[in-house]
Formats: sequence, C-alpha cells, structure tokens
Amino acid sequence: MTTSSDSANPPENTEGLDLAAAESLALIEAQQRQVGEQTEPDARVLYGLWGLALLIGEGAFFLATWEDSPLDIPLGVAGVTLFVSLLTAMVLTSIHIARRVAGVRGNSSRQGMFYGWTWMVGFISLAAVISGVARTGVDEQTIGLLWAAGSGLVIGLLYMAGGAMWLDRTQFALGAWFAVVSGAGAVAGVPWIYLVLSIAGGGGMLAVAAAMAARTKLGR
Amino acid sequence: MTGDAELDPVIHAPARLRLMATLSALAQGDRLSFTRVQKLLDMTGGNLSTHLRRLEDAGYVEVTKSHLGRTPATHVALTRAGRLAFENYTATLRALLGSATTQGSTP
Repeated sequence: MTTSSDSANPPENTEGLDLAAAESLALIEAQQRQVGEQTEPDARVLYGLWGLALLIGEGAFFLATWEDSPLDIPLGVAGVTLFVSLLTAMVLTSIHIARRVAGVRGNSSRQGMFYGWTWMVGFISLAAVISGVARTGVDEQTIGLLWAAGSGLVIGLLYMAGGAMWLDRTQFALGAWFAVVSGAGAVAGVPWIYLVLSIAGGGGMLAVAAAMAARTKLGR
Repeated sequence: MTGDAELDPVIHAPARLRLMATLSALAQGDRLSFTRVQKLLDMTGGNLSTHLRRLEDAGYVEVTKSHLGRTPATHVALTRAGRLAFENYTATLRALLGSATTQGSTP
C-alpha cells in the first residue's frame, strides 16, 4: 500500500501504511490550497490597489480644496489625479481577476459577473443622479460633496453585499466602515469628506490589506 | 462508517489523487478548463487525458466540450459520485491515521 514513486514531494517513503496515508492527506491539502490560491482573486491585492487609489486621489482633492493646504494643487490637477488613480486600480483589478479565474466556469463565474455589473450599474446611476442634481443649479462644492459621499456609499454597500454573498467578514466590516465614514464625511462637508475618504477610507483599506498580508505570513 | 474500507484504487494514485483534489477545491457547480487543470497540475495533455478518462469511466468526473467562438473548450468537474468518493477516500485516510476522533466526526 505504498504510493508510487512520482508523488510531488515524498518524505521518506518506506514507513508503511500510516506514512502513506499521511502523505496522501498532505498531498491533498497542498493541492487544494494551491488551487484556492491560484483560482481565487487575492483580497490583499484588491484592497491594496483601491486603498492606494483612494488615498492618493481623494488626498489630492483634499489638498486642492483645503484652505490651509500646504500644497497649492489646482482643482483640475486633483480631478485628473483621482481619475487616473481610479482608472489604474480598475484596469489592474480586471487583469488580476481575469488571470485568477481564467478557465473557471459555472456558478462562481456567474456570481462574479453579476457582481461586476452591480458595480458598473451603481456608478453609472450615481453619475446620472448627480448630473440631474447639477442641472438644478447647485454649486460645484455640492456636486463634489455628492460625488465623494455617493461613491463612498456605493463602495460601502457593495462591499457589505459582497461580504454577505461570500460570507466574508472582513469585506463586510470594511463595507460598513466605508458607508459610515462616507455619511460622517458628508455631514462634515467639503473639504473634510475628501480627507475622510483618503485616510479613513483608502488608508483603512491599506491597513486591512497589510494586516491580512501579515497574518498569512505568520500562518505559514 | 468507512473506517476499515479499502482505499479507492481509482483515486489512490498520485496523479489522479492530485487531479481529484484539484477539482474538489472548486465550488460546487463550477467547472475548470482542461488547460487550466493542466497548468495547475503541471501535467502533459496526454497524461491528463488518460487520467481523466479513467475517472470519467468510474463516473467521478464529467467532461464537457463546448465552443468559445471558434476554439473548442473542454471543461472538467467532479460529479456528485466523484465528490462523494473523494470524501470517502479522505475519511478512510483519516481513519487509517487514527485521527478520526480528533476530526470530531464521531462524538
């Protein structure tokens, strides 16, 4: 009852039944872990990307709108910075997910597709709502506030929904945090909402990504 | 229940064991493309086909062929019987190791 010699990393292979069984179990676990790691998107990468994008993009907006700002950033430059950092995060997210789930078909790819469309529809509708409000003639600061609070809320709710769907406590908590700080930031108004989204939002995501990375390292 | 049963010979070969473990790691209702399985297992196509056929003959694996535009695509998944056989197999391994009690399966 010894396994044949071409198994992946056989320890000493001559101890009989128990070792062969232990070896087989280790082989199964290693293989399953490898499949999980290679076919599921890495939350640390995604939180890292979006955390950084928000930290930089919303941070630029804060520095552009804060009266006592040490840096004199024109609003247009802040807008481009936010746009470019979000676009970069979106492209890199798409590449990362596409690579990981390549070749996987069935329920989880349908789930992922519906979830992806939810983000898309959420932000397109938000843009429509804000352009509708803009036509009533409110000032630019209000529009800025709506964009910041609105996107924070969409992000928060979709993370909470994702946490519910994949039974992911971290994602759920991060979503709740986003929803709450966006609401609080909106009450505080411009420019503070940008600071809140940059530090509490983006910084919070980076902190979660870092904590997850540290835990994986310790777990090994 | 299956404590002193024989280890399923269809599964108990390193290549097929890794193949079954790979497919069992997928969520139920998911399939994996042939090429992706090949990469995950680092196996040649011919070798993988041979083992897949053996598992398919045993009713453990379902192979579906379809077309993505012009390119044919083959996807692989465990059947219900395959999942059950794999669970029995790992349960037997644990029983052989005498760790069945620590797994909490018997109160």
